[in-house]
Amino acid sequence: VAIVAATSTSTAGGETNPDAVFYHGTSVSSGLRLLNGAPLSLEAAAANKIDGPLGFYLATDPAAAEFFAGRRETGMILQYDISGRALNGLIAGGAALGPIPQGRFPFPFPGTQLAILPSQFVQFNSLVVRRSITILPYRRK
Amino acid sequence: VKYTLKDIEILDDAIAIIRRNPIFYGGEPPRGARLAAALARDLIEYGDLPVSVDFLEGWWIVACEKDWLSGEGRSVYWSRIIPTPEVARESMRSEVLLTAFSKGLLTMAERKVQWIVKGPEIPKALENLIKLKSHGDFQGRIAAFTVD
Repeated sequence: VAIVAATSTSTAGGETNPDAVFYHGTSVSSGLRLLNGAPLSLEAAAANKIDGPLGFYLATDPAAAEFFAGRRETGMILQYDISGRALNGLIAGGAALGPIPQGRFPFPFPGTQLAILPSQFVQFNSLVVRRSITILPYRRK
Repeated sequence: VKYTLKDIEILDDAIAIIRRNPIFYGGEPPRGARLAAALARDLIEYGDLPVSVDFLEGWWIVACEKDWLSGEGRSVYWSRIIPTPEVARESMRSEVLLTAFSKGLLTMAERKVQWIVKGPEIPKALENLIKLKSHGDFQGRIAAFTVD
């Protein structure tokens, strides 16, 4: 699997893996909940959904995440650092790494997205607990 | 609780978000024709017809026989990124793009003119159009803006 957002290497789970960095644009309330340990859930995903299929979406480009955050009255961006093994496991489990659907937006979005299926929320949450996925607040440089 | 509002960057200024992000306009900041086309396209696709577009002495004018912002809470269309999932995913209304990139932007409905972006003096032709619409039985809305 090509990890398009690979920026560095680190040791996770006792092995050296490339880290993939993704961004998630959301509302402040939802972002703070996720930062403080709330797991992904079907209920929260449905409550926060604006459009598109139910799921959890991560973008490789913070500018794309800012668009999605900007659609909220007050938005924020979360940074997800994902180990290579975790990313491969998510993709093997059905997560799709590919272009962000353009929908009605007039221009293509930069970067790609990782679309986590609702059926993978348990897998994703487990990776967060095991610190194979780290969630941080993102600030624009 | 590990994180609070103090730890995050709150994104609540749609105009700033749009101006700093070329993804909203595809590279170069948009010229008037593209903005007028975006608004007209919205009106067409959302069924607010009939709509007309004109260009008078440096000002683009999008006029609609319906007041497309008459619904409750729609005045925020000028200042927020408003998705329209009922039409398509990854969608947004175009009014806020006009606010972000206009040097002057006004709208007229119900015989009242409202400046969204206070700009230069409007040309006589636009002033006359507004007077005409104000005194007739016009039930719609006009958006007029200048970019350059």
